[in-house]
Amino acid sequence: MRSLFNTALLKEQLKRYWPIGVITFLAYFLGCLMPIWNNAGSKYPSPDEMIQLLEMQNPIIIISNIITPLVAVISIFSYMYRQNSTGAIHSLPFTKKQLFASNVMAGYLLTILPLVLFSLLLLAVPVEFRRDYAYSGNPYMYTKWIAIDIFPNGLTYGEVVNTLPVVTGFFARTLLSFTFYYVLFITAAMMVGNHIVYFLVSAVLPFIAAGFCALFGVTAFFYLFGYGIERVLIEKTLTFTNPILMSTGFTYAESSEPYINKIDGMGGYYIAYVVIIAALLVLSYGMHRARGLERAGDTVVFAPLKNFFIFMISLSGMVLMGIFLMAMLDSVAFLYVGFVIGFIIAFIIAQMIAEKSFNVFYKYKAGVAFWQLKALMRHAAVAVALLAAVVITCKMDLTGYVRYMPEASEVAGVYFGWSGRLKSYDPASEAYEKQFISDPRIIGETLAAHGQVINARAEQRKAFLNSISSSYDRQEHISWEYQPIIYRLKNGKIVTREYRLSKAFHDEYFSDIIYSETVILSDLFWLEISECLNQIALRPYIYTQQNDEERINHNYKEIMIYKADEIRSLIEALKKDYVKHKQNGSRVEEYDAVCFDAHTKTNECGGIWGSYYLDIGYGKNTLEWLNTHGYKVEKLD
Amino acid sequence: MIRTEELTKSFDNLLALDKLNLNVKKGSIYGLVGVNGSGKTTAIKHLTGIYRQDAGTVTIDGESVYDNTGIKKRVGYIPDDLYFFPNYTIKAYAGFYKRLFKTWDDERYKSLLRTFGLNDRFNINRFSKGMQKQAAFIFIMSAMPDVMILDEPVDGLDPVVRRLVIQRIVEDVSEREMTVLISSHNLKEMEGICDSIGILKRGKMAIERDLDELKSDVHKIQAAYPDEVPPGIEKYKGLNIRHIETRGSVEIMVVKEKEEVIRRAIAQFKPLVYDLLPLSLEEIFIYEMEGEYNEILV
Amino acid sequence: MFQIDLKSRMPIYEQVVNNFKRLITTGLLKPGDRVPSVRELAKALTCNPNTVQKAFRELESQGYIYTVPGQGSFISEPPAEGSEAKAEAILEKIGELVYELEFLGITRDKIVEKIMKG
Repeated sequence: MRSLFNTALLKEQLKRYWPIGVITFLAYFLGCLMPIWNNAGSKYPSPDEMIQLLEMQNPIIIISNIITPLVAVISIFSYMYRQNSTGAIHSLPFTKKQLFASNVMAGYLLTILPLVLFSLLLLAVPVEFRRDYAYSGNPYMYTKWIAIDIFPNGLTYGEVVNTLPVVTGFFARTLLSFTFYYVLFITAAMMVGNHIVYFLVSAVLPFIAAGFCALFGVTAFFYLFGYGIERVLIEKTLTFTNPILMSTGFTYAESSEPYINKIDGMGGYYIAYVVIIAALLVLSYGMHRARGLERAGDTVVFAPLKNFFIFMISLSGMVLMGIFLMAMLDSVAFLYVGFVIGFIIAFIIAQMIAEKSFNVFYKYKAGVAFWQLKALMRHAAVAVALLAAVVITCKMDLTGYVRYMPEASEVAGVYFGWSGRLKSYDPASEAYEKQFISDPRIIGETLAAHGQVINARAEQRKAFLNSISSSYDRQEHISWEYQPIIYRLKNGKIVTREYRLSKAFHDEYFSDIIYSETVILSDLFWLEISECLNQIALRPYIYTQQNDEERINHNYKEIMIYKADEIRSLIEALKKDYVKHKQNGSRVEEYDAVCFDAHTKTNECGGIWGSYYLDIGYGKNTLEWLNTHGYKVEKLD
Repeated sequence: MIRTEELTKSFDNLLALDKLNLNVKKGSIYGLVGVNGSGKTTAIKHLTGIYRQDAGTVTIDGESVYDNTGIKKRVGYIPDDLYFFPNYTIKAYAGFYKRLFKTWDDERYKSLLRTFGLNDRFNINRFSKGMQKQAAFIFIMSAMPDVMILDEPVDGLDPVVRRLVIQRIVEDVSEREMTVLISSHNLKEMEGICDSIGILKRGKMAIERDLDELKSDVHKIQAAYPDEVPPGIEKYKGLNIRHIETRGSVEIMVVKEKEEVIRRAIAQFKPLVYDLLPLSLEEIFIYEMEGEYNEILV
Repeated sequence: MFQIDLKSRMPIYEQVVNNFKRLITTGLLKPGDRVPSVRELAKALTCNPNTVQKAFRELESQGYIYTVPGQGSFISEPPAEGSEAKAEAILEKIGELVYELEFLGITRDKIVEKIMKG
């Protein structure tokens, strides 16, 4: 029964690279522990540092999450990248399995032992939750958020912050994240043959899934009529494939509300991460076994992988150059010109990287460029085939995406918000349902207009192309209008479409809908939910014309309203002004009239946090309300 | 003891080893020679379990070498391109090897250290190339291997050290029947210490013989004739002539026959005087390589 | 005892054999003297032990040394009458060689000179 690890090798690697562990620990000690302990022991102790750390917001831990595994892997495995060192190691008496396991374990210990020690020390000094805030006259003064998933019962005055369960949770989350990156970088190390490419691949791997999403999105955006780039999908992918983003709360994916609600987004994904880590480990082991040592020093060790990288780089170059030329030269024809130029240039660059030489035009005996030409043709053929497949699928609508429209009976609500992004993504919250307009008349009209769009897609394609190729038009919306339509179906599904339509078409079919009172007021749905809405701040401004220039004069005092009954009636006035303003195309036409920005503040209920802002422009009704309730518009001194 | 059968290896469409058959008997000192690029180091890297063959077998003591720790523990290897961990001393390395090789003999290590006079507290990477080779030699000798594989081991060592190294090797071979494979370009030295030779040519084994047998097979003849040289090589019908050259009245030949056969053949033509010489290993090698280069050397 | 001449074209084992023969015929090694072991000799000469082994086998087959298992090898007594026939054969051979030499134009005097020099 042979052991998995060769203890001699393991010990030796630890002996050689212990500074990595020590330096990491020192960083934790000096950068995290010392400030916490200083803070806790000072005259006015505050738990802020400790809370920030436990909420995964400490920059040192975050940076170390990437850097420590990156450095550990390249140190332990750097022997693989030179012929003499790899030969010397492989002639020693260990099996490849032992070599791999011992090295992986050595690097892993260096990566996580500092974390273990640090977590233990975190428990050493109890930090109490004390908070003193100066009273400012407003009983609902802003207090610091506490992450709900980390402190599910909140924190009470005097309670210890760094309890065993909380610190254990911190340790578990951080451990998972460190392990993920460690194994990811090992995978990178096994694929490549030298240090530089290791760093390049390691830099790219965390983004590769999101990159594919983006590529898919951009392609569909261009070729598929009605497709809007789902930024949410890209962000979701990016966040999921990077546990560090997830645990620090970079979770646009789940909600557009401030992150605090769901800081521990990793919660249910633990098992998925563990599975991914195991899979990557098995993959790395397989690559380690299959590596031919004669390739030490090459860029990529496996020929098929090398070809894949070259292809992907060429493809990226093709897309980037195509988009660049099209935007620069204001013509769609240049998209395809750019494709060709970009592909060739990127291919040559990729070959230079792969062969580590600028001279890639000669190979073996084949003479000038011949070998390169064959390889180029092969890669280009694949790219052309892919492009053709995409174009055919989209133009002929093989998936039915373009012509699809839900039945009126299926639709529960419709939403027209900008950038295709919902205000709330949490189906459990009240806001989620309310943000969709459920008025059946609006739904009917929308479906009718939608049908017209689909029928007119051939001509509207022109408007689309104008909107993306002409730089002037892109900025000024001269000839086109952007129109998203998001349906919420009764079965819970969401159907998203985004169109760029000619101004004439949009005016004819959508203006009536968009500028109807129902739709405009649907923007303010959240005002309806907020029984918890406890404060409205009005900021007046005057739109003047001085010296032939239009100016906005903001030098007026903010007016705060927080009496519950007043808030109710103010909201009605605000709504009226808002509708008028929107129907005017959000333009203010009267100079020297009083305009308002309104900021609302909510408190902890209804699933909405924070503040909302609306610009009501010329606030005739609001001004009237202020006068009747005894508030004045005053200049600042 | 060391054996490859039909060993084949290609790198990127370049055939490095072409069905190589190599056989080293136990307890012998085998010299592996060949021009640069003939595949010596590639073959050696298969014997030490670094490369994996495309086809064929590589065995030591009947067992396949690749990924075989049992065999690797009995093999001591010195590559031509030495590598040591940065900032390691001889002492540190000795500690590492001691844990890796169960057969490590500390007494021998200390005695070798004394013999070569190296300081075990210095960073090995600061040593000169020659001293590094000595260090490498000390390490593998102290591990008491059954098989020693040396790639250009004594090139770059001064004569005194060279002698010490060879003495130790010779001791182990006679005492423990250690098997040694040496690859070197220094054929004069190889001649003095090897009992078998393998000549590698373009990835194939051109000649593999016991050295003495090899030398008794080939001879060089310089014959001087009273007048012009009797014309024609046909006169030497039946003889395996590797090379023949005539300069005026002197004829120079390299013939692959036993001494007796040659003497009888030459005597027929009554040369004025002739010399019959065995070839040195270097000469055998050069004539074998004829055709590899464009110059024919006499 | 003696050195190996690496520059000489003569195979090493032949040199060892010849050197031993000279030491024995000149009386520096007497019958009954212990011959150094393969290991000792190989180390002293810095040459291949197999080569030394081969030389010893040759010497033994020609009767110059004999081996006692467990004790080592020793110089033999000079051969008795039985080998007169062998000596005759060698003398015959010398005669042939002399004839060849004369045919090549080497004078008797030169031949004798060579014999005296050894």
